[in-house]
Formats: sequence, C-alpha cells, structure tokens
Amino acid sequence: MSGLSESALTVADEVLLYRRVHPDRTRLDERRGCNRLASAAFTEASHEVSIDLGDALKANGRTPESTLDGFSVDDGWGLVQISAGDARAAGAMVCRNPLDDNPCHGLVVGKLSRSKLIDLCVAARWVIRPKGACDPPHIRVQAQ
Amino acid sequence: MTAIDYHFPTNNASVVPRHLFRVSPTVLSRDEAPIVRAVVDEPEFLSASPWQATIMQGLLETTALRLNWDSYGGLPTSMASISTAFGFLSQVMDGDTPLPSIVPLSDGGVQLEWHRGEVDIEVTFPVTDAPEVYLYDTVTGNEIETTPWSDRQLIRQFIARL
Repeated sequence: MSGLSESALTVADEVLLYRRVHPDRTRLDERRGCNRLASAAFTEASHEVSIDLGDALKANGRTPESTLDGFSVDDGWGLVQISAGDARAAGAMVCRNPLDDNPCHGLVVGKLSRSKLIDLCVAARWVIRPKGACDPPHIRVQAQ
Repeated sequence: MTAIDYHFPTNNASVVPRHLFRVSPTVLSRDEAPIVRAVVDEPEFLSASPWQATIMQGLLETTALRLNWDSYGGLPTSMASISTAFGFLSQVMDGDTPLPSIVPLSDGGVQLEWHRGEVDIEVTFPVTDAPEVYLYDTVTGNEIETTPWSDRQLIRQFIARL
C-alpha cells in the first residue's frame, strides 16, 4: 500500500477523480447496442488505482481533459470521472500521491469486490467519450 | 490448411501452452522486444468446436498487449490466466452459447463478460487475486457474487438466459 493511510486523506468527497480508459476497457452491450465501460477500468494489480485529482488539476492550471493528453480519442481512448465520495462509498480510500511528472496524481486504494467495482462503473461519467460509448449508467440497468 | 502464426511478447517459451500448437515455440528475440513464435494449423486448432477456436484466438490476442498498454502499468495477459479462463468456458458453454467479450486486466489476468438477454455476467481471472463471478438479473435487480468453481448450476442458469 506504499505507506498510504487515511491520515493522509485530505481529499473532500466532492473532488472529482479522473481516469483514462483504454479502448480495451469498453465492450459491446448487446442490449443497448453501444460500448459500455468495463468494471476492469477501475482495477490495477496493486489495488492502488491511479487517478488525477480535480482540485489539484485546477490548482496547477490544468483542465480535466489534460489527463488524456498524449492519448487519442480517435484510437478509442476515453476519460471518466467519479467523485472521491463515490470511491469512499465503495469502500476505498482516496489519497494524494503527487509524482515528479504529475503533481495532480492520486490513488484510489483498496481491494474492492466485483460489485463494488461495478458501483464505481455506475457512478462514472464520461468526460471524454469514446466513439460508440453508452450513456451512463454503464451497468446494472434494470429491464423496464 | 491455414496456419496461424502467434507471436507472444515474452522470451520465455515455457509460457506457451504446447498442447495447443503444432510447432514447438521458438524464441525469436531476447532483445528489448522479446518474442516467442508458435504456429497452429487452424482447422486442427484444439481439434475443437468453432467457438473454442474463436475464443482461444481472442484470448491469445490479449497476450500481444505491450507493457503499460493501459498507461497505468498494465501487463500482457498471462498464459496461465488464459488457460484457466478457457477451462472455465469449456465447462459452462456449448455450441449455442453466445461468445463472451474478453477484457484484459492490468495484472495480466482476463475478464469474460456477457451483457445480453436478461442478464449481465462477469467472470474474472486475475493473476493477483482469486477468480470471481458477478451475476446480475436485469428483471429482478438481484445480484450475486460467487466463484467460477462454485454454484456451477447457478452460473449455467444465468448463461442459459443470455
């Protein structure tokens, strides 16, 4: 866990968290005929999921969209946002983790069950939408 | 006969499942971009039903992902994950079952997904954690978490509703 703890937590619930979405993180929803965000978008091997913190982006004069700099929407990349409160409601911690090359970097920390990862998917909103992507909610859509 | 030439992004030939390939894997490069080459004759692939060949090809394609493919340190899919996922599918699918979507995981694992009919099904085979199954009934709103190796009858019931 890289020595991170809740005591390092200074991120308000309303702060938005931004994460890049690789083209392999969206898959066809055959009921809706569009590509839905996969719950795998919020996983990393370490159980520490990298994000950019919205308030830090603003303080550094960056836009949320800059998180996707260097990655092409034409190639299928996208950008999603959740709030720090969404992450905490799913049972994760949210920590600031500035890096030399990215002072806005943070981590969503915790081993989440599949249903909790899907909670994050349900909460996620597109900031930069890949072509053909479904509108939220991305999953757990009950039949009418 | 159509031969399929697979290039695995590794310099470790032992990761290639030799029972699936006609030609023993050959290490082509040990340099910065390591490659192991293996060849399979398509019609004899797995001596198998078409869905098995299609699924295996889709799973193998995820091994070609580069290091850091997701920009967050993602690893290419491991052959162990592919083998486990394929074994699971062989136990729950038949020729009429719709094919799942294949989603690579950052840790070298793989996730299988169906979103059709009245159900959502996600089956996850991570490298660093235990496998998981998530079942969602879009009619009742009921969701169930289990493992690929338990509740097999329940998993088959959901798959039958795809």
